[in-house]
Amino acid sequence: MPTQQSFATGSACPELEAGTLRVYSMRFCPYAQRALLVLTYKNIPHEVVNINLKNKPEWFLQKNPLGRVPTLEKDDRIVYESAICCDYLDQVYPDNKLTPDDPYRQARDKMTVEVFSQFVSDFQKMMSSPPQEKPESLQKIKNNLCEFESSLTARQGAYFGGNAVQMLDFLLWPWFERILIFAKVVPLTFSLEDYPALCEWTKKMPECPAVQKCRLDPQQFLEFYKSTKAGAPDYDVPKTSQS
Amino acid sequence: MSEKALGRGSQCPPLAPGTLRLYSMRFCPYAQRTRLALLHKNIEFETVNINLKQKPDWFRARNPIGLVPVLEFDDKIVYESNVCNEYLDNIYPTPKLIPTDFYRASRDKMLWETFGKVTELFYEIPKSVADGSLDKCIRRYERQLRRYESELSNRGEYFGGSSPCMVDFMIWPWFERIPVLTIIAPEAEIDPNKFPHLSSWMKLMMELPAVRETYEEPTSHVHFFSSLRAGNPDYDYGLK
Repeated sequence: MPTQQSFATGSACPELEAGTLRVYSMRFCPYAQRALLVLTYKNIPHEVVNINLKNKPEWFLQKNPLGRVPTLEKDDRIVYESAICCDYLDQVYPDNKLTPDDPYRQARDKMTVEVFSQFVSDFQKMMSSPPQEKPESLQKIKNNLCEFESSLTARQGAYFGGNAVQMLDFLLWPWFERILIFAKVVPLTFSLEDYPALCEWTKKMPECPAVQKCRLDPQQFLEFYKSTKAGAPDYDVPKTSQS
Repeated sequence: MSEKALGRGSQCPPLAPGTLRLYSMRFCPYAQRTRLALLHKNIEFETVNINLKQKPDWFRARNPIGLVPVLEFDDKIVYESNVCNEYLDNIYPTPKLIPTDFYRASRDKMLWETFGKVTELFYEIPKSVADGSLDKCIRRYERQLRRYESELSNRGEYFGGSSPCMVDFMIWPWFERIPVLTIIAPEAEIDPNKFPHLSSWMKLMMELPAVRETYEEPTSHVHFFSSLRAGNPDYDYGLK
């Protein structure tokens, strides 16, 4: 089983046994967390290889020319792009199905993911500059949160999947987990309390065993975040004794 | 149905039950992806073109993001070109444009989901001419194109092998617009020596009825693009 330490330029690729599913990941990456949530929820056996995303190993770029995580590898098959990885896993391992069968429901869920990627982009912009400099970003964020609130309310259940967790819940969760961590240490310019259904959802999601298993340690995450702001991301922030 | 773009203050043309409608814009590459899928699959549909600078309220009500393409059918609304095209392939599976094999379907999706690395250069190349970083930009452009050249060389005449698949239609609209780029940056031309498979593919694609039907001449694309940059996009250019 490969170490948790991230692999960087000049490292050797850990050997992958025939028939083993491997996910190339990074401990603090929200996109990679999407794939880990799906793998964990569906009880799919897998091994994790963490990648140093600032100094990528050459062998990783051979597998994924874009050099991004998550990337799945099993035998000679490689899949990348987080939403594609998640869909692929759901199809190939059909137990505990996460995607709705109805094509129109599938389409509506994918549209929510597309709107969400705009939210992610605006949120990142907002986090990297003072809010007074980017009022349009803040307004867009609030508009998006309204959209998600309506979407969630329309689904008549605690989850985007209705009464049970579905793919959309896992695709959105990693960013809300981080918002909750940030909210405890910095004043955010928006409040989740203004979005009651979303707020409830952020309390329900941590009850899901897969969410618990894949949860970030807030302290480690904040240390990692600080290190990225300083221009020297520490992908191997040491685990504390509590985790 | 008139092809003129409908803008603010216009009335939404009534949609008959059971009719599939596409909200579009004649020069939009993303909308063109969905037009290509509809035409290649011989799906009956009507088109309503939208003035994207002065969007009608009734359009925003259908798509809060306010972009085309948007499909409307009875009470169903689908937007985002990749979502529209996957949805169409599910509902109208003949001919199937996305493989039924999960791995092959994923590989195809990866190709069009990462095509943004090429399309972003369509905007960066003209800027790089102005700021002197064209060479660097072209190298990035060629590196990204090589991914598609290499993939195509493993698959056949089309990305779908002997016939086109969703990948071919999802990436085509930008290849059609290369003549707009080459006016400012001749280096952006697809060199048959460097990209033999993509070059042949471009000629083959031009023979497809769906491609011919959505094709706009380079002069039209140049005119539209210039009008867009000047802040007054000429959505109805070429209409009588």
